[in-house]
Amino acid sequence: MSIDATLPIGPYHPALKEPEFFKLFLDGEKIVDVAIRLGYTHRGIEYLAERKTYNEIPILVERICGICSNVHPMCFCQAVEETWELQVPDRARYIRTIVGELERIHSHLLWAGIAAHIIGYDTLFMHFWKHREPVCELFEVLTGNRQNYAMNCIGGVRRDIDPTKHKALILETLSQIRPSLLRLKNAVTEDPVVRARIENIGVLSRDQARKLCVVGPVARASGLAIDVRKDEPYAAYREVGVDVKVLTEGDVLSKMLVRLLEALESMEIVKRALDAIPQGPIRLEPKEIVPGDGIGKVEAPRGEDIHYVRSNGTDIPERVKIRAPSYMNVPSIAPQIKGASLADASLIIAAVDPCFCCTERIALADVKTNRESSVDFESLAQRWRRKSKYSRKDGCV
Amino acid sequence: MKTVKLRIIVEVLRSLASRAYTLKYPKIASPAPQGFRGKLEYDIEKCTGCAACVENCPASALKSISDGDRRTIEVWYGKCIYCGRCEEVCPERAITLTTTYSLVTGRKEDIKSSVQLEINRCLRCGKPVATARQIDKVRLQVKDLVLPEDYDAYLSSLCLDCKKAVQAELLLAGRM
Amino acid sequence: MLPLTAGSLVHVLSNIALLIENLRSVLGDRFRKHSTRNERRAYVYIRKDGIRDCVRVLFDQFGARLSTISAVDRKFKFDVLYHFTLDQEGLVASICLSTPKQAASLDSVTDILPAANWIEREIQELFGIKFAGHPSPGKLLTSDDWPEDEYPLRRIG
Repeated sequence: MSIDATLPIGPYHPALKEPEFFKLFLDGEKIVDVAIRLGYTHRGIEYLAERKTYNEIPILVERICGICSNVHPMCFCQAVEETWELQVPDRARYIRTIVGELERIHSHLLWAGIAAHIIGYDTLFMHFWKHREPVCELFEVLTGNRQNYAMNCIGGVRRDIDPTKHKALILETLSQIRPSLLRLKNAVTEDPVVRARIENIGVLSRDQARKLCVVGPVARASGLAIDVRKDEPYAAYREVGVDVKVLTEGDVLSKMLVRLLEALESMEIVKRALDAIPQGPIRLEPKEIVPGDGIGKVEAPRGEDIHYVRSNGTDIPERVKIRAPSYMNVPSIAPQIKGASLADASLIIAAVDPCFCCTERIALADVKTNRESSVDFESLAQRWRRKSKYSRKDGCV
Repeated sequence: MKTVKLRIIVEVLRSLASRAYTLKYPKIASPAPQGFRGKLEYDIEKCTGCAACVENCPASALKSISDGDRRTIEVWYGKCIYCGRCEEVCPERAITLTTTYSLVTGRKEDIKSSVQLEINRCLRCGKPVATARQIDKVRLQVKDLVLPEDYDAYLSSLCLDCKKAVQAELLLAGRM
Repeated sequence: MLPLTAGSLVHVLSNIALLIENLRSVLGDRFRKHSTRNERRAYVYIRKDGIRDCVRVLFDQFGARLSTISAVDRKFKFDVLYHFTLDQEGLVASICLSTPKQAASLDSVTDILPAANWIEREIQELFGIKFAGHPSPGKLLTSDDWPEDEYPLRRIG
């Protein structure tokens, strides 16, 4: 197949959150290959962590990602608690579960809104984000901030959940957004135009998913039933239980459904955790820094997050290795995008939920004529929406 | 398809009937809830100048400057990340993170804020010892525990070397 | 550690034992020792030329998933740990090997396990450990004008 043109997308990507660079090799409108380049937000967090004390690192790793801002400190604290053989108090484990699940809800709603925006369905985008707002306001009351909650510390959590004020507020917020979320889920699955745009697009087969070791909703939408909350229960998941959602088609629709179903399941988990939360202390002061190795694993909204910590007995760690879930998922864009048409490129990239925010100018390079031009996001977005309009006209409705 | 069209119409009517979800901030105030981690403020009455906050700030936004007679603890709001560690570790609860989140200002003076405390000098050799408040606090805690009161006031105002020297003298003179 | 029911604990421990036995028989004298820190963490120490057979056993036979590869600078050598997760058992088996700092090199496992592609590239870029046989060992994280032989995570001195 001859390569007609190459289309670079990025580094300020048209669909989502962080900067990444995708070079799409095109044959007409069909994509034959993709080259992915990273590193635009490489901030040297592992390097910094080797120079900071254990108390400062949860606050450092919290700022790896604004959306997964509970996951990284929790994972790091778990790795250190495993190294130092610290038993976290029960109440702290339940609070970690509650904050983690609320974060999952808001992250999935954010992603669903962005995906709707790419398709061109801005109303759905606004609705998803409207219903995400109460969760952010809830975080403001519970933790002190909409993102960067600073809840986790080594040995427990820093703030308590007040049984009188906070519990009622959490339950009220969830009962307020649950019916809306169900309505929005139906709006996605039952609208023929939306379905035509996202069904059978960006398919990742089970075998490819296993070879690339993908994690999270991307894996669960391709038939791999892996979820750290079930396989290696941390925090309070053993007591509270979790129902893992697995689908087998592997396309963008499955990925969206897995995330929306997970958001609904998270609400149930929060309710169960609030009912069962025991009394007791929320924090245990570590007595001793034990040298050794520890691994912490947490199920982030995007998949399995793993931290490896090596302690040498001093108050500065020897090594902190952090592998965020998107690192395993982004290479899986390549098999998913080959053979797809250009109009679907952005959606397929976004479906992997690569943890970001933003959109900028995009360069188009026509290899044959050696001409370079640049378009802004709006005109490229028009392209995607034109496809939706034609789907409607073609008699899908 | 008919049901989808109907649903859209219902949704439109529902949206028209309810008010707008967004606030016209800053025309309308949008206060942060209680417990929000905003701008940090010192209570000068309570601060003893121990600089525990300075030691524990992960962003190095707090600085302690001692120049003989005065200790200044300074916070630089541009560096502060509102994590709340200073509030947590202050033994006097002199720091609170208020609910002020809007820190935009046109004046350079607003970016930094500081508290100043008096440092006591050693009564014997003149070297700076610690802040007056820190010494008072320690004296209160060891009152009547160690020495008779008339020695207490004098000894607690000495630096460590002079303290050892004076105690040795007292021991030799049989006064202890 | 969280309390485990007796059934699950026995299941996990027997799988660790089975895994160790398999690795020992495949690797022969390249297998050095193993230790289990707790019920969910197994550390297997091997000689560095045994890594490809190890990966084959774990990925093909046991259905393990590569979580990540960590490298630690130990002044005169690098410790490299391959963390494999066995999802059904909830177990992480870390394969630990070392390579001397001078001319640090390992065999790439990307042809057996495509997931290792970016992970090995990252270690190559940040530590300077060469992975022989890697299909596309280009830069991943550092900028284009970053000097060729400066490895950010290597300890100096």
